[in-house]
Amino acid sequence: MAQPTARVSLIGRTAQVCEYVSLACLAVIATLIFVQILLRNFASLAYAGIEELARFAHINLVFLLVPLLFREGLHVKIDLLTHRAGPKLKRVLDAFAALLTTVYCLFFLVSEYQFMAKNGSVPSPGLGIPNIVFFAGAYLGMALLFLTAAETFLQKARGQAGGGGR
Amino acid sequence: MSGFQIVGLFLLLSLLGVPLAVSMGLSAVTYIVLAGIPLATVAHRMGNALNSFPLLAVVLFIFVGSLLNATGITHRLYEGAKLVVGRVRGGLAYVNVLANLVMAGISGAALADIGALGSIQIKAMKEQGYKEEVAASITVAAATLGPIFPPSIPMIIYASVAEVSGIKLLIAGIVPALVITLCLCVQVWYFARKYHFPRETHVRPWREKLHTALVALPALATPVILVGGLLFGWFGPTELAGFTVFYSLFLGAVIYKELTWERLLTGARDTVRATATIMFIVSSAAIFAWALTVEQVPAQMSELLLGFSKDPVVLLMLVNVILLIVGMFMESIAAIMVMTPLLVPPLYAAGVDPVHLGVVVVLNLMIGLLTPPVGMSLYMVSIISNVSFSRMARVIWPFLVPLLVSLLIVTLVPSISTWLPDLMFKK
Repeated sequence: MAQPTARVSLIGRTAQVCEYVSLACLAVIATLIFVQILLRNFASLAYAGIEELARFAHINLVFLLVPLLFREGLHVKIDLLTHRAGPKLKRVLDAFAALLTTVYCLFFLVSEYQFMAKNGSVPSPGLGIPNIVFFAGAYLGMALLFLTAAETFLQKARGQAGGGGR
Repeated sequence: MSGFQIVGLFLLLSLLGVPLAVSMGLSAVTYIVLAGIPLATVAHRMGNALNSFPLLAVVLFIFVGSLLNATGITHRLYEGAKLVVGRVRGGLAYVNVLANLVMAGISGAALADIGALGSIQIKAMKEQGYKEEVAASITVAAATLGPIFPPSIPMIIYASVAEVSGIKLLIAGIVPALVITLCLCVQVWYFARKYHFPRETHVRPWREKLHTALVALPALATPVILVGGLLFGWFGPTELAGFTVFYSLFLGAVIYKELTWERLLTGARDTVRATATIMFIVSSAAIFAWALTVEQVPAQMSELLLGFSKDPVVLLMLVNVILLIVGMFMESIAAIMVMTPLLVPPLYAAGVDPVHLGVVVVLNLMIGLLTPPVGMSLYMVSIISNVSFSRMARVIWPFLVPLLVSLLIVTLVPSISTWLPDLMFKK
């Protein structure tokens, strides 16, 4: 039983690390936008790279935090019917939600693979960042969400406590 | 798979407790797979939905909302508003409305305003003898101002989906927000007399009043600077958000000296969580809305609505009914993402100004935050006030009246929304 526990904690710790990256992205976005205001208003300068870097940070901020949100049960859910369910049915519904999240991530990752196979090397207009780097946060975040949701599904299926949704 | 089957699958998955973002995304993916459309579309659309400069304003305004309490701005705003109307009958109820208006000029989200101001306001009103459910209801109704007065997170999202000018839409919210404020104040005036709302008996000495005013001034000046910056073209929506973050940090660290590293980190953590929650929905809704568009649901919706009537007023009233019902069951950002592409083409074809429609859509969905069963604002205020959600759901209805009257006025008089942006941009 020691091996699964170690794996679980590794996924959790990776999600935590992603939170630090997201926090750094927030700082980057706020700073870049402020720099842009200063440059535009005081030096009459506009630099497309600033905006592009801020958008890059935005994509990373969002997708890298999605697994942690799932783990903490913070994804928005409609609990109109589910909150009336008994504990057994609730567990089944939670497992179902985790399974569908896993499936969704899988489709996304296949989709991302297909997209990058054709367009991965296309550079961004401002800084020339290739798509495969620019959208790295998206596929890394969704890959981690895949693992997190799969782990939650297994936990729910075994009747253990775990993440899910709000 | 037809467009209506995509919507049906989404509703089914949502009701089974699947996260909204996954319900939307998976419904679209199912359609894409069954229709034999290249799967690469999914990643492309989802990534590009977030690769948007205007949407950065959402992140930064969420950050501002998280910083308001940490920097001491909320407390000063409240004290400043109290100074103006605190001593009339029902004074704290007026303070509640006015403080929310000022707060609306900084934060741009109803939930952020309830979170920041709610606990201070409800506590003060309870101590002065207001029933706690009345205090909570006034707080939650007044928080509707947050997303109407600029800045506004839902309006920025609407603008990006409807492809209208974000600045125009933000400016369009100013007069409607003042109309809502007036309607809320009329209700407070009426209730204050009918239910004998208390008044502040403590008379502050002039020296104390002057000190409070001076301390509150930098916080109270924030919305003036921001709206001024927007009107005079100093900032676009995203730059406005960036400036507000740094102005809030400046006030908290230098002027009020209440901002600590710990508070800043807590605010940043809350921000990234709230941002990722909203934006994951936005990202998945992009592929969902795209699937509906490919299946020509907007065109069918146009046909349906325009078949019913071509009169813009009738259509807008119909939209009000639809959105008020949608708002009762659907999270507001998801509703904007799904409903905007469906509603804009027919209403536009009927001659409705898309900026006016934006204000109507957002106001409807913000009223939806107050209506059970999926009333996010009600949930939030019930946590803050310790009034149960079911009790809040029963007592909130009279407080919806001024909001519905405002909605009617804003719907029937388009110039309330369009006059100021037209004036600024010389249409």
